[in-house]
Amino acid sequence: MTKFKQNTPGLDDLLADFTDRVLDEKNTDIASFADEELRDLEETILHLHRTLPNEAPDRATINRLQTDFKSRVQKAERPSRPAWRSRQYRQRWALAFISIAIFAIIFIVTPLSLSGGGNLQGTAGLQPKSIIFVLIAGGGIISLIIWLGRRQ
Amino acid sequence: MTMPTAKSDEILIQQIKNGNSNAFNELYNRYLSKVYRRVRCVIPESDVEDVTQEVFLAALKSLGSFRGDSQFGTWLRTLTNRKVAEYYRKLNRKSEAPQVPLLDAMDYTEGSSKKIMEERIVLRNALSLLPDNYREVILLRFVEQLQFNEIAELTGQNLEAVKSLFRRAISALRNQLDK
Repeated sequence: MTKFKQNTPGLDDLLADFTDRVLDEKNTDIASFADEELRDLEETILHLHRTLPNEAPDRATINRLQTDFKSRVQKAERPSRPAWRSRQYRQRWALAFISIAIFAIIFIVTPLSLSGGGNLQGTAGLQPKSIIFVLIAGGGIISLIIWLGRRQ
Repeated sequence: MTMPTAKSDEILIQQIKNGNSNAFNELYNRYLSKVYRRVRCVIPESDVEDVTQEVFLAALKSLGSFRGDSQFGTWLRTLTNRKVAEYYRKLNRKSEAPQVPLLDAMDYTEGSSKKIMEERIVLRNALSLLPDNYREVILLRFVEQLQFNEIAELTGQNLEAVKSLFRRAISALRNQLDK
């Protein structure tokens, strides 16, 4: 590990000068054998200069990026689809409507079938048996809706 | 014959704010190479183009709030750093380890030696682990090729402070590479 010396403006200047020379493609020899820290840092400068990808994008890349950027801008500017047009939104409404319809049919048909078509006089409203049946059917439908909702 | 002079960034920004979308294309072309090279030093090769585009899209979106307190180039540099940080945040959220993709198949492009590509990946990882001000001074000098006095002017520091910061940054990088 390179030991870092505090308060050494001389080293700061030497390293800065060395970096300038390297980046100007002038003398890139490591001449500072006297100081271990500076030598290590100069090696790192050379490594950076050699390794950092510093080429500008070529013409083909620039053209591709320009085209891609234009299409991204167009896509971003396009108004987003209103929520009611989404598939999930429509499915949820359809499911709710079907459930209500089924529940209504059961509610209407069940008392009639259980009471034999309403032949008896004075049997207003639902009988206890039919109430239980409607409640069970309703509960089943609600469970089904919740289950389907979670699956989506 | 007088050569047509390039419009300044400020004029182009004003034109964009007035609804001239072509003006942004001019700004895009002017800064594309700079942003691309900076992103390429810190982002895996396969995502460089995507992140570069994200930077410009963000610039286009928030240009309305650009008040011109700093130069456009400085503002764009900040935006680039923010997008790079965002990239790594998303990446770390997706997978717990490692912090940075160590191997990147796209790095092994035709014509580039495998050794250089491996060194680039190691260097990129080391750079990404440096404090922001250390990484910044290295990128300003090596990628944007700014002179030390220009960096001092840009960051509002004196020249000695910048050179000292640079040496500390290189020392920290050296230690990261040695690990």
